[in-house]
Amino acid sequence: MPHPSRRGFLGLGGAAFALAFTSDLADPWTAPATARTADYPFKLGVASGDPLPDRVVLWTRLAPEPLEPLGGLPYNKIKVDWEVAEDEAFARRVRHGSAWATPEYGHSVHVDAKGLRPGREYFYRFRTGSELSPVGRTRTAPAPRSSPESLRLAFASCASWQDGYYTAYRHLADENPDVVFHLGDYIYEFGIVPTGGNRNTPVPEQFRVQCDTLDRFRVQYGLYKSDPDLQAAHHRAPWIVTWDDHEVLDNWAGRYGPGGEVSEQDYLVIRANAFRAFWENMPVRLPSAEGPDARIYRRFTFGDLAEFNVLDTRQYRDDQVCGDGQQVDCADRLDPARQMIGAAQERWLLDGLGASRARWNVLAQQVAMMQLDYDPGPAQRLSMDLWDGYKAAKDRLLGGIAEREVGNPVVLTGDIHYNLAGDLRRDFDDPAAPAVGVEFVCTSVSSGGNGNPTQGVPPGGTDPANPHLRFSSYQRGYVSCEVTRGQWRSDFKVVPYVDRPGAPVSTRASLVTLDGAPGLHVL
Amino acid sequence: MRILTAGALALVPMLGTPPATPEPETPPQAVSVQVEPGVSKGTGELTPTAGAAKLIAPLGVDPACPATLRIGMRSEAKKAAYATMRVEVDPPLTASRTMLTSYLPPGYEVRAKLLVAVPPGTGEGTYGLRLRTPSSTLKVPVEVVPVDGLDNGGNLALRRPVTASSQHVNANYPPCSVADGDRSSNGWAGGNGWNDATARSWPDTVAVALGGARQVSRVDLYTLDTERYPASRYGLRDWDVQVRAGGGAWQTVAQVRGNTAGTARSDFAPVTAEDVRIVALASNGANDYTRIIEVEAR
Repeated sequence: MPHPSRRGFLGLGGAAFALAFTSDLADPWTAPATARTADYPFKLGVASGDPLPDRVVLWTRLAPEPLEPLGGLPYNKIKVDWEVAEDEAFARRVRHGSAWATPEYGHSVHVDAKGLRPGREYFYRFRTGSELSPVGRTRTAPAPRSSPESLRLAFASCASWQDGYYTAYRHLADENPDVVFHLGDYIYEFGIVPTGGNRNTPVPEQFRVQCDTLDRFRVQYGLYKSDPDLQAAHHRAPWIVTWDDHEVLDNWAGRYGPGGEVSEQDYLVIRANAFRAFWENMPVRLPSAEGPDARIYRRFTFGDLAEFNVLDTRQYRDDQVCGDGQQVDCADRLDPARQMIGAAQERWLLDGLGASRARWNVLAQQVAMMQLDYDPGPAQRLSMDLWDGYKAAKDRLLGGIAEREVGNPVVLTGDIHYNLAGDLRRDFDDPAAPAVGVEFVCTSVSSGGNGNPTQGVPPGGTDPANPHLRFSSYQRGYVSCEVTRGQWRSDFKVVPYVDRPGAPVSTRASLVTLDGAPGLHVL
Repeated sequence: MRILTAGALALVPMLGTPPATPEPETPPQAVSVQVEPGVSKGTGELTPTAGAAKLIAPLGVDPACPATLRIGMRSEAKKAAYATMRVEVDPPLTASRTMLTSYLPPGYEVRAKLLVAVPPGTGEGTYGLRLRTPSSTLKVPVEVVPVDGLDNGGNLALRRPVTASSQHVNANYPPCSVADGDRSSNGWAGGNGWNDATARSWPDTVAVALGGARQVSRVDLYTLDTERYPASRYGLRDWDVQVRAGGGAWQTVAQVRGNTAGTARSDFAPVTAEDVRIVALASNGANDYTRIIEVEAR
């Protein structure tokens, strides 16, 4: 991989790190200075997530054979030690402990490492037997009453493994962000042909069939999380994740599955399997999934600078109307009774936004909120899967934000495999309506293949059908943000190809929104 | 996001550049898991189940189209739980799962597909397949037989080698699936049908080698047809049926035009053929791809 500048840290295996002693002489972590063995248990890397001012979740999953449903391990529990230090040599260890990796949870480990200091960088690793994991870097959230000057974050979505390489994740890792938001479609449930799609990387025959049972979802995560670029992105920063549709089934909606030959009962069993696999494989501070219902919407506060509301726009929504897809004149989309995030989550969200003291109030969520008219002519063709298909819920939310005079609303979105930036308005059909906030939509990491740099609205261009849109591009990548007290800047990072590794990264567009003045400006 | 991401591409009002070509549509695939609700006895047992008392696994077939068995487990527990059943098969046969793990409400049976592959060089005979739970073991014998020894019900194409002009690789659409004996459209893109790779480009061809000179007078074609993906939109509309023998030229023996149904039968004067092929000329609806579930020759 063409990133020598970062290899000094990440390129070292667990054995090499064993040479770096801890200061706790009672328990020095040592290991034979040998190369990784075939049954190395940390082949899925490590991760951290859900940072709070005093704690962060540390994650790993033991899997000497990542493409086996139980990772090639027997049906036994296995003890795993963990440690957190202030330095990457682990000379200043601050916390350590042990946890069990159990077969019921795919030998995953979720440690909530507490007692940490706010707004600080830490390093962590795991050990089982004589094997040491790679080292991860993480960072706690700033103190609750602090006034941070800045925050650097990145967000990404949509990483179909067979559609291409995760070069975008590698570049994201190289930025060392304070926190990464993943907005879903981290995996795709689809089967993978043995030739490995755009990657031309062979996969075993059992990947042909679609994910449905927990054993099948587990090997899908095993394949995805074996990717070195994805691991690098986890190793460099804490992640805050949510799911979209492909963590379960294409375009699932509430209790409605794909229809056709998949009954609601079938679908709910699949959903329970999908939720469990998600929990096992993600660094989340959530109760383990024990069935087809699991609350994952939650909130993170970064001092008085930014508050993040992480939403679930799938689990509580009503079914897509007018047959889903793109529709013209679908009256049902206006039905005021229809829910997008469900009444409980909507109340939680608006209450939280109303009580927030943060300068930037962020919704980290899945599907596009700005109106997207797909018809260049006078007709209005809208997607029933997006917020446009749930017009009343969108109006309630944007109206509620305006009524509460929520400070600087910023919506971060994934799903659509397209970079977009636009103003959020209470009435999108009135170009004179003032913006109440802004939305940044990140394109896919890999889904859809290479993309096309000639497609989209150049920064500063206009789209007559969507006058609130300031920029769009159909390329692969992620979005990097620098948040300060005066402005929010989003840089749309793109890679020219994903059908082979090693693509360079460039900034396709940079847009800012200023404190107290909703609306986007192109840099 | 729909797998048919066409939508996003249309949203491209560009400055001075030509409109984007819409991405080809491929319908999303279906899943193989099914559940059967029931009432639990409350004993805590986990009972293995199988869709058949034995499995016939033909020798020498394309590994993309292995023998398929529906396996499952039923819970007599008092509470819902994630249950695991082990799957063991005698070597050299291999199975697509070494275990079945799923959420399982009490009284429910969950069923999933198991693919059993017969590697080249496997001897004919009966092999063991065992489905094990802590409470019991279910044995399903696997009979490995040569294709010539299969009961083909008169379908000369069954399990014979298939070649196609192309194959879409965003999901599982192997050409051999048109001769796997499964006429059902359920589980599209999960290996039960062929989808070519060339959108809006015609013709597409799929050919079956019959394993020798055979007399043929009828070909049945099954195209994609489900409630969600009706043949009138996703199915094949126009095609020619061709045969050849002795390495000669392909000869058209039947033509189908304007089909909107899930299946179409072509009868023709008996001919001697070593190969049968479908030359696909157009499909319905988006007129994009060829989607064929099964081709049978008699």
